[in-house]
Amino acid sequence: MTSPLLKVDGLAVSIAARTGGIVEPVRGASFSIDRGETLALVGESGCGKSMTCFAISGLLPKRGRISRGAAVLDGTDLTQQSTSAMRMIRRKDIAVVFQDATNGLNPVKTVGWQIAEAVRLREGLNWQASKRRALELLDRVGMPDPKARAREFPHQLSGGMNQRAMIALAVAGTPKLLIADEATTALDVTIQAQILALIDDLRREFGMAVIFVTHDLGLVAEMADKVAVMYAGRVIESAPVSRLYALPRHPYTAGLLNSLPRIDQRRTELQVIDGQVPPIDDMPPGCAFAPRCAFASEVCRTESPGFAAASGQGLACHHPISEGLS
Amino acid sequence: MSLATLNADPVAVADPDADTIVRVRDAARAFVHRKAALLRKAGTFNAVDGVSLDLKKGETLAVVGESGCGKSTLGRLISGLMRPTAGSVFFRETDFSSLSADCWRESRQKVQIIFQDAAGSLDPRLPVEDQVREPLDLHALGTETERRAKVRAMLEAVKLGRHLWKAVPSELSGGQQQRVVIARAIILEPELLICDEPVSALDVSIQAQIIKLLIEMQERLGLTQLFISHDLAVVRQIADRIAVMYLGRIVECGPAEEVFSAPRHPYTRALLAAVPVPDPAARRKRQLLSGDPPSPHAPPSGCRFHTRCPKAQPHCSETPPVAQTFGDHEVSCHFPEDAA
Repeated sequence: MTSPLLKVDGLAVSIAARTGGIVEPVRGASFSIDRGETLALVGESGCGKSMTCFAISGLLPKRGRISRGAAVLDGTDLTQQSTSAMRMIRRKDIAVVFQDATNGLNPVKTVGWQIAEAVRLREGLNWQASKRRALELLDRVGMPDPKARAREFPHQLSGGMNQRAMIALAVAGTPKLLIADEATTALDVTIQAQILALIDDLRREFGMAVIFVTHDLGLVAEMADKVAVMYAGRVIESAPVSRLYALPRHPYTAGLLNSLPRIDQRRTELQVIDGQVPPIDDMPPGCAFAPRCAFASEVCRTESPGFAAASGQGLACHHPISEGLS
Repeated sequence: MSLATLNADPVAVADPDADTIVRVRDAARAFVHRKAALLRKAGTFNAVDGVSLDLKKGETLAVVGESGCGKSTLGRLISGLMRPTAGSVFFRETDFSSLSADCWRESRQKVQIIFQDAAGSLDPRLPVEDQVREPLDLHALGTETERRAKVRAMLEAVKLGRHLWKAVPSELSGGQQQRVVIARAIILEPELLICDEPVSALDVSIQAQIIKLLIEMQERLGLTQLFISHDLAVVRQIADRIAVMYLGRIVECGPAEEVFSAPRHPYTRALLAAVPVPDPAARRKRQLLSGDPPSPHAPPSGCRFHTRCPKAQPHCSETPPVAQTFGDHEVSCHFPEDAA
């Protein structure tokens, strides 16, 4: 068996709060992703999914640091790299696309210039060749009239076109891993569908692995091979996408899927998970989901469940829903 | 272009108790371009451009469309917060834009609005309980004790924990803030509740709670709702009827189940196909629309959708389509899809 492209194991991130204390937005993220595979990292706001990706890509804020765990990309432990080494890794191996494409681009440089610069740095071409390659890339990501668009500035383009430019920028060095952090959240559905199809095409063409960070479980079902569900800083369940949707084993996953409004049916009774996520500086001692969980018992309130991973699936729960019960 | 499901018959106009409580006829709202001041050219465009629709008592009409299609502007026109630059908007027999200041305040008892940004809708310094009581104070309804009892009943009804009643909005989560906004909007028992993207800013598990609450309140108070949203999956859970907007016009309007199961306008089809279904077994071959929506500043000629339409013919770019009726389902398209 070949080793996975990226294996994240028990990753934790701590941030020194301005008020003096230390908060841990990520307390235990474990998942792995194979070459050319799509993994979806799902969860609600504040669950630590973006922070996990910042940690992997070396983009943590100044006050943040990786406090525990490992993230091994192709034999290199990303948690042990210096800032400059991470910079080289981002240049060659890991590319990130964020939600806000317009602010992700440099406002005072043309789109073509920015992509050509990335090409020059990553592929070591001269400026003329880089510019030609940039135009090819813009054409590849489906930018309408790439020659004219390359001479324009980000504010002159629509949100969808900027996101295409960001993707061109990201895939310029044919990275091994593309992290798409809510990359389509700000877009209208028809544009979102275009961008998703594009990312999937590029993944196949370049053989990249893709981590999709999202809160949209509909999108996950359509795009992902594997899913890791996060809650309050931990990955609480991971599984192949078809297994997770058919037989969710963690009560939170099951609750989330049941409360989802679906376009293809009207629910007679919309089920809800009562309550809300505990605040980051006041986590309960046991399982963070226990206060909202119908199955919670005494052990859930006192003891945090460990993350047990086996044969491509993982679960952190004292009382998992048994198969056949859901 | 009329998309009314009920033609304005004289009896309904004369009788205020009739079923129809909102009547919009060929309403348009023009705005000045942002660039106009720089170019010294008074360029205007219509965010809403010739919309007609009726809202019947007790129903929930959802207005859906992508950003910039004019759905929020339509909500503002119907609420009376904005005047149409052409056409008319009537709430029962009242035209809000004709009201004096006193009558205007009175009319707010009948129509209330919920916006997406709950935090921005609330007074940041006022405790929740006072916040929800304010409408009763302003309209001088009931005695002091009655008001207090009513506020408490309302806060119970929206399931806001008792320990939060003295809190200020910044101490509440997004979902709790939206509960306060809903309580404040329906404490006056309005006839019409306009919800402008009420759950778009919320997380999935909280979103479901708020949708459930809105459905409960609607059933309890017999509210009429105008539900504005870009999220078709949410709309499916709550709407009785759906109006699909594209660049300032309604392209399709009909009963919710019909629009979802048998959309007739190519845009509605594409819009529905673009929404991901949370079921890996249901992965479909998507029919993708090409290109971005055109700018509303310079809408295309003829049918406004022809630049992105997979079925467009030369005729579509020349003549704007006239609404066709199939029962109570209306479509503005030269080549509507069959029902199947």
